[in-house]
Amino acid sequence: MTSDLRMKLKELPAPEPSAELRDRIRASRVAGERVVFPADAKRSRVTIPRAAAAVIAFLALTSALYAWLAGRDRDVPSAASFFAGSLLWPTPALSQEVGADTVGRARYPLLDRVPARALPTGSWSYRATLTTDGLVTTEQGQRRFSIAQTTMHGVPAVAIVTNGTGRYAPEGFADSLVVSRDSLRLLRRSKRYGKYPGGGDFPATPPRYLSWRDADINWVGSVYRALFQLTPLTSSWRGSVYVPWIRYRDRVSALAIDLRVTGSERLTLPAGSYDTWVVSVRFRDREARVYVDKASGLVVKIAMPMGDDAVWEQVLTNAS
Amino acid sequence: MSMTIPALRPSSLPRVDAQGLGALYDTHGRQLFRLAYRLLGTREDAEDVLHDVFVGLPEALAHYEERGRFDAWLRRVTVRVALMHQRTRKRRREARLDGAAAVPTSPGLTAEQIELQAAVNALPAELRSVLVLKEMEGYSHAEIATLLGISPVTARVRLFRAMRSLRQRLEDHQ
Repeated sequence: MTSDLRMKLKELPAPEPSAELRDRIRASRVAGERVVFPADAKRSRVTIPRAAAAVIAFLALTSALYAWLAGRDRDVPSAASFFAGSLLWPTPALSQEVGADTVGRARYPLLDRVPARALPTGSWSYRATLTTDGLVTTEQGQRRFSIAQTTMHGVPAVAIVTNGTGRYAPEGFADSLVVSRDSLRLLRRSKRYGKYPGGGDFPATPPRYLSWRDADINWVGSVYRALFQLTPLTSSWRGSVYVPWIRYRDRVSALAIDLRVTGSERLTLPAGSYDTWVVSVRFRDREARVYVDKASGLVVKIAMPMGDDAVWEQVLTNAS
Repeated sequence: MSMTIPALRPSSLPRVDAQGLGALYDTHGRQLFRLAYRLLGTREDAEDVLHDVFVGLPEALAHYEERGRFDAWLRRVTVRVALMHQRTRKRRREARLDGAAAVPTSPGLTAEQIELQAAVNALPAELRSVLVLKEMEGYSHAEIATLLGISPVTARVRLFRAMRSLRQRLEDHQ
């Protein structure tokens, strides 16, 4: 149909100019009328690189100055601070309080701990892409989500790990959460974004347990995956949670996230076919869709619109 | 009087007096009018563009540096003038809240062609420009990018949107 349409477009006739146009042009010239054409492309081709070069030079100078200033004092918080310190979530988020720096309001009953039950061990790979207008697809890196049994300080535990690469993290990243096997008590959280590590051990008292409150909206989402595996979903399931949202280097807000099962869908992905719950995840004015396998609770796909014409997706490519 | 100017050097261009301008019009007028009509969708706008192109041509030729075919240069000039006209017209129409697409009035059009032309005219200007330049005038995405001041990827995306919109509209009317 497309080639047919193209042919029809090419063959679309146009009318003839009116007979008096020639005389009108002549009359205008004789009357002294002049028209200056828009600047031609050659000129703009020269101008744009010059402007771009000026911007690049400015950015390079600024960047060099920043690096020099940062290098003078190693205590200046680095980019690692964006992703480290997840043990120290702000009190409002942990206590689910609505404060002055809370963005949005919860629509549904607040979610909390998840049932303490065995997490299935395994390893799952995902491929991330960004598609613009269904036309231009760019790779956004790979993710590997793993759950493995381990011990920590003699306590039988489960390690929930996500690592991979991304377009903006060519050096790779990793996010690990260690919880006790019997009660899902939080033991350790560690993160690495490129060469920046962060994290630490949770204190034994007061104990904290794996809950939706820990589902920070970071770029990895490993906690989310575990939480979905532990949360029994139904067609009417819904809930909200305030999670920490790192907005700037030294500013963390509490952000309301509303989750709701909106339907079910059978998906065929590179890793296989799955009957899934479709979960709407709304925060601020955005909405992502998370597809959760009904049988295993495994997140098999995430789709999130980026603006009006692009969709970021992550799909399961392999399960082992 | 008919005159063909295939890839003439500036020095070999005719003197652009009233007679030379008329000769250029006779040679290229129809083709350029068709280009302007396709870009703008109405005879009146296309004639305004052609008027401006030929009225401004003598001065522009003084600065003309031949890098390719003369008619290709003339077409590029026409596209730029049409796009400028389109922007001016858009501002006017926004002020009048008159966004209705022009209905094609060319005699001899089939019902299907009238529908197709109306669908093209109904496209937003930035989509129609890319569609016309690529699918009807045969420009490459790189050339379109240069003419419109956008990236080749943006040109591709706009063409995709234009074709999708066109198909949807035609299907809706079936």
